[in-house]
Amino acid sequence: MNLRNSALTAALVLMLVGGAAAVPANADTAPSTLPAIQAAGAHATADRIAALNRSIPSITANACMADASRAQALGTLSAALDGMQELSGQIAAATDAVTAAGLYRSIFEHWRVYAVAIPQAHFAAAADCLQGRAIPALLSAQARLEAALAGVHADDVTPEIEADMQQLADQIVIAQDAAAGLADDALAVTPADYNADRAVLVPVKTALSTATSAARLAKAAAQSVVDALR
Amino acid sequence: MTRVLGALLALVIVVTLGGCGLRGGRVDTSQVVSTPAPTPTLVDDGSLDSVLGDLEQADSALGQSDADLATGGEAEARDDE
Repeated sequence: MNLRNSALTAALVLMLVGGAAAVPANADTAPSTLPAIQAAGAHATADRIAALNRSIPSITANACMADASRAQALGTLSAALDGMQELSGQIAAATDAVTAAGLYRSIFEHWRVYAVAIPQAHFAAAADCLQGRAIPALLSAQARLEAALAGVHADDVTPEIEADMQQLADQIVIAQDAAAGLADDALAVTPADYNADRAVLVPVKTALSTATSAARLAKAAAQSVVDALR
Repeated sequence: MTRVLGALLALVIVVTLGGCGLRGGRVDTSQVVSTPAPTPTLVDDGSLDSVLGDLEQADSALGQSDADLATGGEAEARDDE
């Protein structure tokens, strides 16, 4: 019994420690002295500059992304990079805590590098991959299978194959509906939108998950038909 | 005698060269391999292979999409404000 209580206590402690570690810094824990603000600002801007310098080449090289989406995303990421570099210098040069604190806050509230700029670029890329590559490939597979089942494999059609073909068609429609306009939706989100609603990108992520799951189900259905015909 | 031997030698040379030419001709004709008419089975396999190609392309795009979704999510998780 004591052993069980100890285990429960340990688990509770671990949960509390883990929970505390997961709580992000917020306005209540923001640094207040000029040196502390400058140190925190240097860390926050350097961290974001490094992340942007990883995302920009990644988005540039993304093979799926539509040119318009890429241009818009890179514009936002480049502006954020310039903004972080400028803020880094301004915070370091600040001579009073009030000015430094205002600049420090703008790292988050004006740019939202982690909350908006980087995620929206990658969510748009994911949406373009679905809409521009995955779904067209599934539509092509569907058309080829329909032709085969109406022609050389007309005698091979079974109820299972018909069900798989229906599943293929249904899931493609679900994927198309979920992915439609998603890249634009992701790229339209601004830091101000996020400041007003912290969950502003959630519908984009949900739709991406829906579209991806449907596309995978469509692919599995097409694969089943191929396997049955081979 | 010399003339007879010369004539025989010339005849041997002519026959030998002619034989080579004939064989060459035969080789040329034998190398023409008729292409078998495609059977329905081969056509079917090609069609299904094309479908599999489409599915591989879809899979690759879905993998890239997953990677971008994950990268975006990781960035969100790093937000420390």
